[in-house]
Amino acid sequence: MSIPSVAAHPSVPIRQDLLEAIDRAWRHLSAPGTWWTGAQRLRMVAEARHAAQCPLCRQRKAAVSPYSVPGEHSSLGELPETVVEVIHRISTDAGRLTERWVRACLESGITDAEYVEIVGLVATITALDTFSKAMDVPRRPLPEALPGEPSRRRPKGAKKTIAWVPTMSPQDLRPGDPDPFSRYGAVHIQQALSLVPDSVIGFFDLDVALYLQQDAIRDFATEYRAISHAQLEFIAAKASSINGCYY
Amino acid sequence: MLRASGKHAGEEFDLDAIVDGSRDSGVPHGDLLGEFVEAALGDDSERLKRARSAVSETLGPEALVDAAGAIASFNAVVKVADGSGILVEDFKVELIQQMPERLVQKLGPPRRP
Repeated sequence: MSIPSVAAHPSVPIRQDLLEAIDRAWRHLSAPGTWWTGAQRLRMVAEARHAAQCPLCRQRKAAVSPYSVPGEHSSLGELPETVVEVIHRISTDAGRLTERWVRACLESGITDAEYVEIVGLVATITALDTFSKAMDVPRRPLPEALPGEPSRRRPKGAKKTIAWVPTMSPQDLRPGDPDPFSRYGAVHIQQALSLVPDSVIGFFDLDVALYLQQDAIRDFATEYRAISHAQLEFIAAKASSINGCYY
Repeated sequence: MLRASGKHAGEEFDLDAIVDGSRDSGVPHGDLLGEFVEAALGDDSERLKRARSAVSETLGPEALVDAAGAIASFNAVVKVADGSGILVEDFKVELIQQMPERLVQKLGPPRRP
Protein backbone atom coordinates (compact mmCIF):
# COMPACT_ATOMS: atom_id res chain seq x y z
CA MET A 1 0.00 0.00 0.00
CA SER A 2 1.26 3.45 -0.88
CA ILE A 3 0.25 6.41 1.25
CA PRO A 4 1.36 9.80 -0.09
CA SER A 5 3.25 11.66 2.59
CA VAL A 6 3.27 15.28 3.69
CA ALA A 7 7.03 14.90 3.36
CA ALA A 8 6.44 14.93 -0.39
CA HIS A 9 6.16 18.71 0.00
CA PRO A 10 9.71 19.59 1.09
CA SER A 11 9.04 23.34 1.19
CA VAL A 12 7.01 22.81 4.34
CA PRO A 13 9.35 22.56 7.35
CA ILE A 14 7.25 20.13 9.34
CA ARG A 15 8.82 18.45 12.37
CA GLN A 16 9.89 14.85 11.72
CA ASP A 17 7.95 13.56 14.75
CA LEU A 18 4.81 15.24 13.41
CA LEU A 19 5.33 13.84 9.91
CA GLU A 20 5.67 10.38 11.40
CA ALA A 21 2.56 10.86 13.56
CA ILE A 22 0.58 11.94 10.48
CA ASP A 23 1.67 8.83 8.60
CA ARG A 24 0.72 6.65 11.60
CA ALA A 25 -2.66 8.36 11.79
CA TRP A 26 -3.36 7.48 8.15
CA ARG A 27 -2.36 3.88 8.76
CA HIS A 28 -4.67 3.88 11.80
CA LEU A 29 -7.58 5.15 9.70
CA SER A 30 -7.05 2.58 6.97
CA ALA A 31 -6.49 -0.44 9.24
CA PRO A 32 -9.20 -2.65 10.72
CA GLY A 33 -10.41 -1.16 13.98
CA THR A 34 -12.17 -2.74 16.92
CA TRP A 35 -15.65 -2.80 15.39
CA TRP A 36 -15.24 -1.70 11.74
CA THR A 37 -13.06 -2.99 8.91
CA GLY A 38 -10.44 -0.83 7.24
CA ALA A 39 -12.68 -0.40 4.19
CA GLN A 40 -15.64 0.68 6.35
CA ARG A 41 -13.45 3.09 8.30
CA LEU A 42 -12.20 4.74 5.11
CA ARG A 43 -15.76 5.06 3.81
CA MET A 44 -16.54 6.90 7.06
CA VAL A 45 -13.52 9.16 6.60
CA ALA A 46 -14.69 9.97 3.06
CA GLU A 47 -18.18 10.69 4.39
CA ALA A 48 -16.77 13.01 7.06
CA ARG A 49 -14.98 14.97 4.35
CA HIS A 50 -18.17 15.06 2.30
CA ALA A 51 -20.27 16.39 5.20
CA ALA A 52 -19.04 19.95 4.61
CA GLN A 53 -20.98 19.98 1.32
CA CYS A 54 -24.23 18.64 2.80
CA PRO A 55 -27.12 21.16 2.38
CA LEU A 56 -29.06 19.62 5.29
CA CYS A 57 -26.07 20.07 7.60
CA ARG A 58 -25.77 23.70 6.48
CA GLN A 59 -29.46 24.32 7.16
CA ARG A 60 -29.23 22.68 10.57
CA LYS A 61 -26.09 24.61 11.46
CA ALA A 62 -27.90 27.86 10.68
CA ALA A 63 -31.05 26.89 12.59
CA VAL A 64 -31.73 27.85 16.21
CA SER A 65 -32.11 24.14 16.89
CA PRO A 66 -30.66 21.50 14.56
CA TYR A 67 -33.39 19.14 15.75
CA SER A 68 -36.09 21.30 14.17
CA VAL A 69 -34.82 20.74 10.63
CA PRO A 70 -35.86 17.40 9.10
CA GLY A 71 -34.48 16.06 5.86
CA GLU A 72 -32.00 13.72 4.28
CA HIS A 73 -28.26 14.15 4.23
CA SER A 74 -26.39 14.45 0.97
CA SER A 75 -24.16 11.42 1.36
CA LEU A 76 -21.76 9.36 -0.72
CA GLY A 77 -24.31 6.55 -0.50
CA GLU A 78 -21.98 3.91 0.88
CA LEU A 79 -23.02 3.81 4.54
CA PRO A 80 -26.21 3.17 6.52
CA GLU A 81 -28.37 6.22 7.22
CA THR A 82 -27.66 6.22 10.96
CA VAL A 83 -23.92 6.10 10.39
CA VAL A 84 -24.20 9.02 7.95
CA GLU A 85 -26.22 11.01 10.51
CA VAL A 86 -23.57 10.37 13.19
CA ILE A 87 -20.69 11.32 10.92
CA HIS A 88 -22.34 14.47 9.56
CA ARG A 89 -23.50 15.81 12.94
CA ILE A 90 -20.15 15.23 14.62
CA SER A 91 -18.33 16.72 11.63
CA THR A 92 -20.44 19.85 11.25
CA ASP A 93 -22.22 20.66 14.52
CA ALA A 94 -20.71 18.67 17.39
CA GLY A 95 -21.28 21.46 19.90
CA ARG A 96 -25.05 20.95 19.86
CA LEU A 97 -25.19 17.18 20.21
CA THR A 98 -27.32 15.89 23.07
CA GLU A 99 -27.48 12.65 25.01
CA ARG A 100 -30.99 12.15 23.64
CA TRP A 101 -29.65 12.31 20.09
CA VAL A 102 -26.91 9.79 20.91
CA ARG A 103 -29.50 7.44 22.44
CA ALA A 104 -31.65 7.74 19.31
CA CYS A 105 -28.65 6.83 17.14
CA LEU A 106 -27.91 3.82 19.34
CA GLU A 107 -31.53 2.68 19.01
CA SER A 108 -31.24 2.92 15.22
CA GLY A 109 -28.83 0.13 14.55
CA ILE A 110 -25.33 0.86 15.84
CA THR A 111 -23.84 -0.12 19.18
CA ASP A 112 -22.28 2.28 21.67
CA ALA A 113 -18.81 0.95 20.85
CA GLU A 114 -19.36 1.27 17.10
CA TYR A 115 -20.51 4.85 17.75
CA VAL A 116 -17.40 5.64 19.81
CA GLU A 117 -15.14 4.31 17.07
CA ILE A 118 -16.86 6.61 14.57
CA VAL A 119 -16.29 9.60 16.88
CA GLY A 120 -12.58 8.77 16.94
CA LEU A 121 -12.41 8.51 13.16
CA VAL A 122 -14.15 11.84 12.62
CA ALA A 123 -11.90 13.53 15.18
CA THR A 124 -8.76 12.12 13.57
CA ILE A 125 -9.63 13.13 10.00
CA THR A 126 -10.68 16.56 11.33
CA ALA A 127 -7.24 17.00 12.87
CA LEU A 128 -5.44 15.85 9.72
CA ASP A 129 -7.45 17.98 7.33
CA THR A 130 -7.41 21.07 9.57
CA PHE A 131 -3.64 20.86 9.76
CA SER A 132 -3.36 20.51 5.98
CA LYS A 133 -5.66 23.48 5.44
CA ALA A 134 -3.84 25.68 7.95
CA MET A 135 -0.48 24.80 6.39
CA ASP A 136 -1.67 24.99 2.76
CA VAL A 137 -0.59 21.40 2.23
CA PRO A 138 -2.78 19.41 -0.20
CA ARG A 139 -5.33 17.25 1.57
CA ARG A 140 -4.15 13.66 1.35
CA PRO A 141 -6.19 11.32 -0.85
CA LEU A 142 -7.59 8.27 0.88
CA PRO A 143 -5.24 5.29 0.92
CA GLU A 144 -6.24 1.70 0.21
CA ALA A 145 -7.80 -0.12 3.11
CA LEU A 146 -5.65 -2.60 4.97
CA PRO A 147 -7.06 -6.12 5.06
CA GLY A 148 -8.21 -7.90 8.18
CA GLU A 149 -11.09 -8.21 10.56
CA PRO A 150 -11.99 -5.95 13.49
CA SER A 151 -10.84 -7.27 16.87
CA ARG A 152 -14.35 -6.91 18.38
CA ARG A 153 -12.93 -6.72 21.90
CA ARG A 154 -15.00 -4.72 24.39
CA PRO A 155 -13.26 -3.81 27.63
CA LYS A 156 -15.16 -5.47 30.47
CA GLY A 157 -14.50 -2.68 32.97
CA ALA A 158 -16.20 0.06 30.93
CA LYS A 159 -19.15 1.74 32.64
CA LYS A 160 -21.32 4.80 32.09
CA THR A 161 -20.22 7.41 34.63
CA ILE A 162 -18.69 10.54 33.14
CA ALA A 163 -20.06 10.58 29.58
CA TRP A 164 -23.04 9.64 27.42
CA VAL A 165 -21.23 6.42 26.55
CA PRO A 166 -19.43 3.92 28.80
CA THR A 167 -15.82 4.82 29.56
CA MET A 168 -12.89 3.45 31.53
CA SER A 169 -10.52 5.02 34.01
CA PRO A 170 -7.09 3.50 34.66
CA GLN A 171 -8.60 1.60 37.61
CA ASP A 172 -11.05 -0.12 35.26
CA LEU A 173 -8.38 -1.69 33.05
CA ARG A 174 -8.35 -5.49 33.15
CA PRO A 175 -5.48 -7.80 32.12
CA GLY A 176 -5.19 -7.80 28.35
CA ASP A 177 -6.88 -4.42 27.86
CA PRO A 178 -4.84 -1.95 25.79
CA ASP A 179 -3.70 0.84 28.17
CA PRO A 180 -3.99 4.26 26.52
CA PHE A 181 -3.70 6.16 29.82
CA SER A 182 -0.10 5.53 30.85
CA ARG A 183 1.11 7.18 27.66
CA TYR A 184 -1.45 9.90 26.96
CA GLY A 185 -2.88 10.77 30.40
CA ALA A 186 -6.18 9.93 32.06
CA VAL A 187 -8.20 13.11 32.49
CA HIS A 188 -11.74 13.01 31.13
CA ILE A 189 -10.80 13.84 27.56
CA GLN A 190 -8.50 10.82 27.35
CA GLN A 191 -11.19 8.64 28.94
CA ALA A 192 -13.88 9.86 26.52
CA LEU A 193 -13.30 7.21 23.82
CA SER A 194 -11.96 4.51 26.13
CA LEU A 195 -14.80 2.10 25.34
CA VAL A 196 -12.63 1.58 22.26
CA PRO A 197 -9.06 1.89 23.61
CA ASP A 198 -7.59 1.70 20.10
CA SER A 199 -9.49 4.88 19.24
CA VAL A 200 -7.93 6.72 22.19
CA ILE A 201 -4.49 5.57 21.12
CA GLY A 202 -5.08 6.40 17.45
CA PHE A 203 -6.36 9.89 18.14
CA PHE A 204 -3.96 10.96 20.87
CA ASP A 205 -0.89 9.56 19.11
CA LEU A 206 -1.54 12.27 16.52
CA ASP A 207 -2.85 14.88 18.96
CA VAL A 208 0.24 14.98 21.18
CA ALA A 209 2.40 15.54 18.08
CA LEU A 210 0.15 18.35 16.91
CA TYR A 211 -0.06 20.00 20.33
CA LEU A 212 1.81 18.73 23.41
CA GLN A 213 2.26 15.60 25.49
CA GLN A 214 0.05 15.71 28.59
CA ASP A 215 2.97 16.20 31.01
CA ALA A 216 4.37 19.03 28.86
CA ILE A 217 1.15 21.03 29.00
CA ARG A 218 1.75 22.18 32.58
CA ASP A 219 5.54 22.22 32.38
CA PHE A 220 5.73 25.99 32.02
CA ALA A 221 9.45 26.02 32.74
CA THR A 222 10.24 24.31 29.44
CA GLU A 223 9.20 25.35 25.95
CA TYR A 224 8.66 22.35 23.66
CA ARG A 225 7.60 24.17 20.51
CA ALA A 226 8.68 27.14 18.41
CA ILE A 227 5.93 29.17 20.07
CA SER A 228 5.54 29.59 23.82
CA HIS A 229 3.09 27.91 26.18
CA ALA A 230 1.14 31.16 26.35
CA GLN A 231 0.93 31.39 22.56
CA LEU A 232 -0.16 27.75 22.23
CA GLU A 233 -2.79 28.25 24.92
CA PHE A 234 -4.08 31.41 23.32
CA ILE A 235 -4.54 29.48 20.08
CA ALA A 236 -6.23 26.66 21.99
CA ALA A 237 -8.56 29.04 23.80
CA LYS A 238 -9.46 30.85 20.60
CA ALA A 239 -10.17 27.61 18.70
CA SER A 240 -12.23 26.22 21.59
CA SER A 241 -14.17 29.46 21.80
CA ILE A 242 -15.02 29.32 18.09
CA ASN A 243 -16.11 25.70 18.53
CA GLY A 244 -18.08 26.47 21.70
CA CYS A 245 -16.21 23.92 23.76
CA TYR A 246 -14.49 24.02 27.17
CA TYR A 247 -11.85 21.56 25.96
CA MET B 1 -4.21 27.12 31.08
CA LEU B 2 -3.57 30.55 29.57
CA ARG B 3 -4.13 32.12 32.98
CA ALA B 4 -1.81 29.55 34.57
CA SER B 5 1.04 30.10 32.13
CA GLY B 6 0.66 33.86 32.53
CA LYS B 7 0.91 33.44 36.29
CA HIS B 8 4.10 31.41 35.83
CA ALA B 9 5.54 34.14 33.62
CA GLY B 10 4.44 36.88 36.02
CA GLU B 11 1.99 38.30 33.50
CA GLU B 12 -1.75 38.70 33.41
CA PHE B 13 -3.33 38.07 30.04
CA ASP B 14 -6.63 39.63 29.01
CA LEU B 15 -8.90 36.63 28.47
CA ASP B 16 -11.59 38.87 26.96
CA ALA B 17 -9.32 39.05 23.90
CA ILE B 18 -10.25 35.44 23.17
CA VAL B 19 -13.70 36.60 22.11
CA ASP B 20 -12.91 40.20 21.24
CA GLY B 21 -10.28 40.59 18.51
CA SER B 22 -10.06 44.35 19.12
CA ARG B 23 -8.46 43.81 22.53
CA ASP B 24 -4.79 43.14 23.22
CA SER B 25 -4.46 39.81 25.00
CA GLY B 26 -0.95 40.58 26.16
CA VAL B 27 0.21 37.31 24.60
CA PRO B 28 3.16 38.04 22.28
CA HIS B 29 1.82 38.26 18.71
CA GLY B 30 -1.59 37.19 19.98
CA ASP B 31 -3.23 39.31 17.28
CA LEU B 32 -1.49 37.41 14.47
CA LEU B 33 -2.14 34.04 16.06
CA GLY B 34 -5.78 34.85 16.78
CA GLU B 35 -6.29 35.93 13.20
CA PHE B 36 -4.63 32.70 12.01
CA VAL B 37 -7.03 30.63 14.14
CA GLU B 38 -10.11 32.47 12.87
CA ALA B 39 -8.94 32.22 9.27
CA ALA B 40 -7.99 28.53 9.50
CA LEU B 41 -11.41 27.66 10.94
CA GLY B 42 -13.25 29.90 8.47
CA ASP B 43 -14.05 29.74 4.77
CA ASP B 44 -12.10 32.70 3.37
CA SER B 45 -9.04 31.28 1.61
CA GLU B 46 -7.50 34.71 0.90
CA ARG B 47 -7.80 35.66 4.57
CA LEU B 48 -6.11 32.39 5.52
CA LYS B 49 -3.33 32.99 3.02
CA ARG B 50 -2.65 36.42 4.52
CA ALA B 51 -2.81 35.13 8.10
CA ARG B 52 -0.47 32.22 7.31
CA SER B 53 2.05 34.55 5.67
CA ALA B 54 1.91 36.97 8.59
CA VAL B 55 2.65 34.23 11.13
CA SER B 56 5.41 32.70 9.02
CA GLU B 57 7.11 36.02 8.24
CA THR B 58 6.87 37.35 11.80
CA LEU B 59 7.41 34.24 13.91
CA GLY B 60 9.08 31.88 11.43
CA PRO B 61 8.09 28.72 9.54
CA GLU B 62 8.58 26.42 12.54
CA ALA B 63 6.20 28.59 14.56
CA LEU B 64 3.68 28.36 11.73
CA VAL B 65 3.81 24.57 11.93
CA ASP B 66 3.29 24.55 15.68
CA ALA B 67 0.47 27.10 15.49
CA ALA B 68 -1.23 25.04 12.76
CA GLY B 69 -0.78 21.94 14.90
CA ALA B 70 -2.46 23.56 17.89
CA ILE B 71 -5.37 24.73 15.73
CA ALA B 72 -5.80 21.23 14.29
CA SER B 73 -5.65 19.67 17.75
CA PHE B 74 -8.30 21.91 19.25
CA ASN B 75 -10.54 21.73 16.21
CA ALA B 76 -10.52 17.94 16.60
CA VAL B 77 -10.58 17.40 20.34
CA VAL B 78 -13.94 19.15 20.44
CA LYS B 79 -15.34 16.23 18.42
CA VAL B 80 -14.08 13.81 21.06
CA ALA B 81 -15.54 15.87 23.92
CA ASP B 82 -18.88 16.68 22.31
CA GLY B 83 -19.33 13.34 20.57
CA SER B 84 -18.87 11.42 23.81
CA GLY B 85 -20.68 13.92 26.02
CA ILE B 86 -17.80 13.90 28.45
CA LEU B 87 -18.44 15.87 31.64
CA VAL B 88 -16.28 18.82 32.60
CA GLU B 89 -14.12 17.97 35.62
CA ASP B 90 -14.70 19.68 39.00
CA PHE B 91 -11.36 21.52 38.86
CA LYS B 92 -12.28 22.96 35.47
CA VAL B 93 -15.63 24.20 36.78
CA GLU B 94 -13.75 26.26 39.36
CA LEU B 95 -11.58 27.72 36.60
CA ILE B 96 -14.62 28.40 34.42
CA GLN B 97 -16.11 30.45 37.26
CA GLN B 98 -13.08 32.72 37.02
CA MET B 99 -13.38 33.20 33.25
CA PRO B 100 -14.68 36.45 31.74
CA GLU B 101 -18.46 36.52 31.54
CA ARG B 102 -18.47 37.13 27.78
CA LEU B 103 -16.40 34.00 27.19
CA VAL B 104 -18.64 31.86 29.40
CA GLN B 105 -21.71 33.23 27.62
CA LYS B 106 -20.21 32.27 24.26
CA LEU B 107 -19.39 28.75 25.42
CA GLY B 108 -22.64 28.15 27.27
CA PRO B 109 -22.98 26.13 30.46
CA PRO B 110 -20.38 23.37 30.95
CA ARG B 111 -21.64 19.77 30.77
CA ARG B 112 -22.18 18.59 34.35
CA PRO B 113 -23.97 15.62 35.95
